[in-house]
Amino acid sequence: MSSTQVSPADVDVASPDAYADGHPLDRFDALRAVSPVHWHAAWTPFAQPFWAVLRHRDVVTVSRDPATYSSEQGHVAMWDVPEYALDARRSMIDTDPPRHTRLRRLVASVFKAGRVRDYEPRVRRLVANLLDDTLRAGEVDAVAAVAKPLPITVILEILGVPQEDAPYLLELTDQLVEATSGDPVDPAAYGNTTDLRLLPFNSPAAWALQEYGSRLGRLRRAHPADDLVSSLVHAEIDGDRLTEQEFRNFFQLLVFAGNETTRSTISQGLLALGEHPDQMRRLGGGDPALFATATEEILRWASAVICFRRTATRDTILGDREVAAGDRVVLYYNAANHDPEVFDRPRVFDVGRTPNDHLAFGGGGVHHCLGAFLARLEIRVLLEELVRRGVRLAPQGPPVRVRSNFVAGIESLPVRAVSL
Amino acid sequence: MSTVRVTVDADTCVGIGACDEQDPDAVVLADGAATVARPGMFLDPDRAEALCRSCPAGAITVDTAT
Repeated sequence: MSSTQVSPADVDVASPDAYADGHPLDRFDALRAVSPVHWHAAWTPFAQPFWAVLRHRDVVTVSRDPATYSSEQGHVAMWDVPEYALDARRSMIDTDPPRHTRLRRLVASVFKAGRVRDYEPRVRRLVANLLDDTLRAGEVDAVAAVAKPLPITVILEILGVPQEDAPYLLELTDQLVEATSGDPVDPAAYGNTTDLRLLPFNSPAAWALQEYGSRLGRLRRAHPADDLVSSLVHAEIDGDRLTEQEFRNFFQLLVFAGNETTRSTISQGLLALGEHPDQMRRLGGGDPALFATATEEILRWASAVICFRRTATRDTILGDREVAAGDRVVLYYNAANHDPEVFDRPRVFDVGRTPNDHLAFGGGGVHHCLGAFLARLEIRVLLEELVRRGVRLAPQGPPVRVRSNFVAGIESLPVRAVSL
Repeated sequence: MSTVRVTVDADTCVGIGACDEQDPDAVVLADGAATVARPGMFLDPDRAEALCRSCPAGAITVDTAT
């Protein structure tokens, strides 16, 4: 598809089908060239039309102005939910300052750079074990062998969740992503009796995840430990503690965001390095600075979160478009991450790319990804340990992609370790 | 060389901690929020700009009154 042949009205970047073969970069380019802030048709009879924001500078503008572009009004996903449901399912990502600030500061210190540095020895041991097992196994699924276990193990340790429960929590977060596929779900799964509209992702798995969190929270109230769940259930802000519903939503968000997005980024990164062996060899060439730039390039390339929505609180102008109060404004991060206004040769995977002002952690502002330093650590250590072993993971077949218009994930990727 | 002051917007700061990494002598991070290390402290413009740029939230700005 070229920008000269396409009619913007015909371009779909909203449905899960648009992501069946990975990010629809041709569609993003075609649309960005002629209609960078684009009034996009509803992608199902149940959804509503919205502004698709595709240009880097516009994503930044929206992200840094929560007073005009709210995460608290409307919904952060493309479809609307009733006001009463918004309150029930609200977590840190569905709030604006000052409510957002109150919640975010509860957990900020655990994820700041200095604290994350303390996790490095444990992350390195974990990565070493995973890679050594992978090397011994011959052909493996890189997602199951590396990308899945790494981030879930780390976030569960931070939260204080027993590691033996990782498979169950992985299943639940997989189900949350599955709920963005457009396929029907069983509302009674996991014993859920709550109206799905009250649950994040409209998913019974969110209820199950919250129930798990509630049980752990009760345990930590009675027997505090040195972990994040204990901190959350005992935290006070201006004399208030988190309500039970706030805690449940917080726990669900941390388990989901702490593993799904990093897992998807690592999966996409391993695929990219597998498809660009020259870049992997470059990493092994002895320049340690490349590990940091390669990490940023993988984040840009993967753009694990496809989009988030804001809702305009007033009439305003975005690009050359008149946005009305109440309009849905959806930020497409990988479209911005391939914006030729900002990135030289954006379709080239370049582990030395500098500068690399990607928006994989959002467009800045108060919703900048809480786990950004942790994700960077996990990716960098993985690259360093691959190079230390003198190997790359060569794809042995095509990836199976997750069907979703929210997370750019990979379900499986057959690989075999080969020499650099 | 002229110097400038920087301001941390308390409503925008969410305690990301990138400023603390960039220039730990210029800011203090406590209870999930950053503040300027010493009230009225002056920085050279390059240092101030680097500090502002380090904040993904956009919470740190050069105090235009200076």
